[in-house]
Order: sequence, then C-alpha cells, then structure tokens
Amino acid sequence: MTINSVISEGGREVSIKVDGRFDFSLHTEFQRAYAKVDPARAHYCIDLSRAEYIDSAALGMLLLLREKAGGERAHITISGCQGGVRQILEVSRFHQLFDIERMG
Amino acid sequence: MHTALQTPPPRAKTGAVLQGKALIVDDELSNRLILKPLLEQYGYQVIQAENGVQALQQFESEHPDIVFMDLLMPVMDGYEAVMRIREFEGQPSVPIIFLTSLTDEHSLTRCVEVGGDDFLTKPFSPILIKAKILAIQRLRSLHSQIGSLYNRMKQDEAAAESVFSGAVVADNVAMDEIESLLRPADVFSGDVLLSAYSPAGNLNLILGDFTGHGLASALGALPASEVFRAMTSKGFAPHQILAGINEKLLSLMPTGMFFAVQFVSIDRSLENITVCNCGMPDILLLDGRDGAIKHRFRSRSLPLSIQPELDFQSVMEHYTTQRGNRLLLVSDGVIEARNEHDEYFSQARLEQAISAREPGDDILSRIRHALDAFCGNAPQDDDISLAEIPCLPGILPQWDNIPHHEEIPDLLEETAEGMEQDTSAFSLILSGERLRQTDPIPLVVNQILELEQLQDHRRVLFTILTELYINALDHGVLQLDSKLKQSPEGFTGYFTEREKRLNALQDGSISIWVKIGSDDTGGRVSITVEDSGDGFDASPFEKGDTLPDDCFSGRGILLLKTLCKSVYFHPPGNRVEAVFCWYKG
Repeated sequence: MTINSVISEGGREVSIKVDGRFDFSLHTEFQRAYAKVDPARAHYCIDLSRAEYIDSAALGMLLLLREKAGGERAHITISGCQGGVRQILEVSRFHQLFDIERMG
Repeated sequence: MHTALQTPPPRAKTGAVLQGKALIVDDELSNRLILKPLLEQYGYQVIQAENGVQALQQFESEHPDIVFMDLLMPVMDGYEAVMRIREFEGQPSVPIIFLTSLTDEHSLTRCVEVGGDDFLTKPFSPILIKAKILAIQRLRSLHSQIGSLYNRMKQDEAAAESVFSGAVVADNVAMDEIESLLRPADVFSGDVLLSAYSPAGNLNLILGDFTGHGLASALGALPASEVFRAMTSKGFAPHQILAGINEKLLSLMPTGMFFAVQFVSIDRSLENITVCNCGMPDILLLDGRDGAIKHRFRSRSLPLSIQPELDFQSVMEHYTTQRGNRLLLVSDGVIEARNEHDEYFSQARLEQAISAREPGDDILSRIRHALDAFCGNAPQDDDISLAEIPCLPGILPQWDNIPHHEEIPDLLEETAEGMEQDTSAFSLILSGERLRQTDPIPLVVNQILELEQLQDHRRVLFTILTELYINALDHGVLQLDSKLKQSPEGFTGYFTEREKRLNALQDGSISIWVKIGSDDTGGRVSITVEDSGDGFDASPFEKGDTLPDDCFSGRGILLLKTLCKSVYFHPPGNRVEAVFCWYKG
C-alpha cells in the first residue's frame, strides 16, 4: 500500500502510481503527492496498474484532485485500470469526469 | 455540557491520594515487610498472601488494583497463580509485577508469557519500586480515562443514532412487505434505504450509499431523505427527484463525498417500473417463482453530489414487469465483502446464491446464509445492505380516502346556486417546447391545495390530474396509440417512442382549467383538460363502469370514473371535464 510520485522539472507533469489497495489509508499520502505543484497548471497521470482495489474514499480523493486541478479544465489521465478497479470506475461512470485509458 | 470524567479519589491515611488495593504475594515475611510501607506511602491499602492459592482467594474476594507476585513459593508458585488470575479475569486488566531473584532470560520470558507486566529484582531498591509504581499509576489513569471516554462516546453515538435513524427512516412505507438485510459496519451506516408514496400511489424507493461509513457518511442521509420525501409527496417525476437530491447534496457536502444511488419507482399498476442506477451494483429484476434474473439495470449515471445539472431523464429506464416479480437492490458492501483469505464475495457468488434458490425459500435468507458462510469471522469493511421488493399489491398505499359514488351527496345539484358565491378558478396553458420541459401536475395540485384545505384528498386529485394530463399529452398531442403497450416491446417500446416524439415536438398545446367551489357542507373541483389533438371516440367509455371486452386501454379512464363524481368527454374527444366532490364531517 504505497504511493510513488514523480514530478517533472518545472512541475508540469505529475505521475502518481498506486500500489496495492487504494483506499482511505492513502488519503494523506495521495494529497502529499501533488501538494507542491501549481495544481491548475499541471497534467496528472494516475497509474493504477498495480492497484488491487479501489474504494469510494479513493474515488473521493480523485474527485478532490480534480477540483484542485480546476474541475472541468483539469487534465487528469487514469491509466492501467484492470479487473475490479476498472469495474468500479465503470460503475461509477468516472469516464465522464476523467480520461481513463484502457489496458492495451 | 461538561461533566467531570472521574470524581476525585478519596485520601488515604498517610495523606497520599488513595490508589486502591495492592496485593503482595510472598512466602517470606521480610519481603512483605519491606514492600508494605513503601506501597502505603504511595497511597495503597495493602493486603497479603503467602502462596499462590491464598493469592487467588484474595484476588477473587478483595479485587486488588495491583499485584506483586513472588515466583518461588510453596503450595502454588507465582507462574501458576498468575495464569489462574488471568484466566479468572478473562481480559487481563490488573497490573501484575513479579518479584524475583532469578535473572536468567528463560525465567523472565516465562513471566511475560503467563501474563506478567513487569519485574522487580530482589533485593528491592526503593527508588526502582517508586519508579515502577508511578509508571503503573500513570498507565492506569490513562487506561481508565480512555475507558470512560470510550464509554461516553458509545453512549453518545447510540443516542445520536436513534434520533438520526428516527429522522431518516421512520417515515418509510411498505416496510412490512419489503424484505431487507441492513448490516452497518459501524454504529452509523453510510447506506440508507428510503421509501415513500407519490400522490398517484406509486412507490418510490432509494437504496443509497454515501462515501465511506460511520458518522461522517451518515450525515448526508438527513438532507437526502428530506428532499426525497418532499418531492415524492408533491408528485415530482423520478428524474426531478434525483436532480433535487443532487443539487441539495452538492450545496452541503464537501468535495470527494458522494452518494451512489439505486432509484426505483413502481407504478401502482405493478406493471411498469422506472429505474435509475447511479454508480451502484446492478439492480436485479427476478422472476417471482424461480428467482431467475429477468433483467439487470446497470449503472448509467455518475453518483450524486459530484456534478451539477446532471441529466437524469436520459438515463432513466422504463421497464415492463409482471405481478409477483421481485426487485433486488444491493449495495457494494455485499459484493465486496471479504473473507479471511482476502477474497471478495463477488457478483458471481451473489447470483449463485439467488439461482440456487429452492421454491418457497426466500431469496434474502439464501443470500444471508451464503454471505455468512463465505465471510466466516472476517471483519466487515463496509456497510452491507440488501432489499427485496415484491411487485405485489401489498406494497401499494391503501386508498382509504376515496369516497364511493353512492356515498357522495348530490352537492352539484343541491348547492350549485350557493356555490357561485364562493368560487375560485384558474387556468394554465402549455404549448410547444413548454410541454417538453414542464410538468404542470404538481403545480396545479399545489395550487388547488392552496385554495382549499384538501390535504386528505391530495393523492386522489393528483391521480385525476395525472390521468387527464397524460392522456392529453400522450394520445392527444403526441398521437401515441395505446396498442403500442401491447406490442412485444411493451411499455419499454412505448416509452422510447414517447421520448422520441416528445423531443421532436414543435407545436401543440394543452390547457387546464380548474374551478373550485365550496360551502359548509363540502365542495367540488372541476378540472377540464383540452389538447390540440384530434380527439377520439369516447363513446365506449361513456356507459357504466366496465371496460368493453376488446378494449386495449382505458384503465386510466376507468380509474377517473371511480374517483370522480362525473367524467365528460366533449366531442370530438379532445376536451375532458372531470368533477371531484368532497363533503365535510
């Protein structure tokens, strides 16, 4: 259950990779991952290829990030979703709010 | 309001604060004599024992607050005595300090294993004894503070929960007929099951799931249920109710907290349902006899409280059901319930439990057994909620306020002259695009209720207006043929066609005139609805209260005739006047 984040030089690209269960316990860590960038200018890539599970609190964390990043104008890509994680994002119809890449 | 956590402890003889009873267990008198004054100095009343057996007796009868236990003693040694004390306690709570001259690792390990908290090595050092006693006192005081805070929190929680669930679910209807399994993961549940009747007698239901669980997630249930009940009782359509809840929650809840919802409206004919699934697992429609899955309603919308102005109308599903069909509402806590091996209960296991159903056995018990067998003793992560709704007359409101024809006094004739003195009237005309956007029924009913104290007849008035208006819109303006409902696609096809024509609607109009008159004995409401359509041959319905044998539709007209004093179709049939009468006392 960890989060790895990489912020590109200039703070324009933020990559956040979630490993294990993506749930409430990652709340602080997830927010810390993008705390240092100018939220409205950055592009975010959330890599969920190693996430085993996502709960509603984690969906809430994604929504919070979206709001910070400018709501409708946010650039957030969610990649690598598979199995249960993909299913939960689909049931929640999150593709209406986020750019969700399918596994190739 | 603030209350002291603990009353201050009484003072001991020595002047120190009384800490309670200390039990010293040692076969050597000299050791006991060294310890006793030290303990008294720190506020303990001292009791003594010479071996393990005596120690047990003293422990059980005197309930000491701390125990000092020698290791090697005749009759029963310290290890044995401590094991039995811990066994007697159930939950270890009284601190036990071993007194020992043994210093090898093995003996000390054993002390911890049998349930000891600490050691004192002989010969005793007064300063060490003092340090240990003070440390243990600090721990005990923390322990008891946490204990009383925890108890208080539990009491507050229980009280709040009872007030809260009273406010949220006390007004639910049809709960005798609806089977449900609700297992909160916490005192408060983030899941909520709501039911209410619309004025037309339809049953509206919501199974909703707020983000997370516990108190924070339960808070949204209050405004959600208020909007749901208010809008349902005023007769708003399902998509309007969902939009209302969505806007209310958006204005109240922080970002990141949302409300996934299964919404079902069961028509009073028990043949049509309107469904909307917003971010929840599939809603299942089951055959009443064998439990076979007839249809699944998948999530077609974002959960509520995320985006403003969501279009719920386009994601609503209309479906034709049969009497005896059963609807199953399920929260994700069921599907994602975990066992000891971290596996999920899953949709597959849920459906297996449903299909394995023996005739006569109820579906919920089977799911409950399968869930219990699967989860075993694994802790519950999320709220678990299931509701099974049978499409049977029992779930419908009892129409106790409908007066029968014979019982209505002939107000129309007797008081017609007098009533002209005390009459109010209003009208409403909708045309073109307005017909697509506005639902005038709640407006008109509420206007009538404003003018007359007719709360008891709200449902009846609503039904009358709905029948008149829908008839005018569907068959008059949109030219829909009732025979469509009999086609293989049934109501679904009908609604799809209706939606299509409504969206393409350019012109056409519907006028509604309402005239109300009353006196001391009662009154009458005359409602006339005229549409821009071609009308129809109403003659088969003019006579009597039964439908012609070859009649495809007309249930609505029959209902109108049951509820109203009179129903008159003005030729060519595009103008209908319905008169409803009531009387006082």
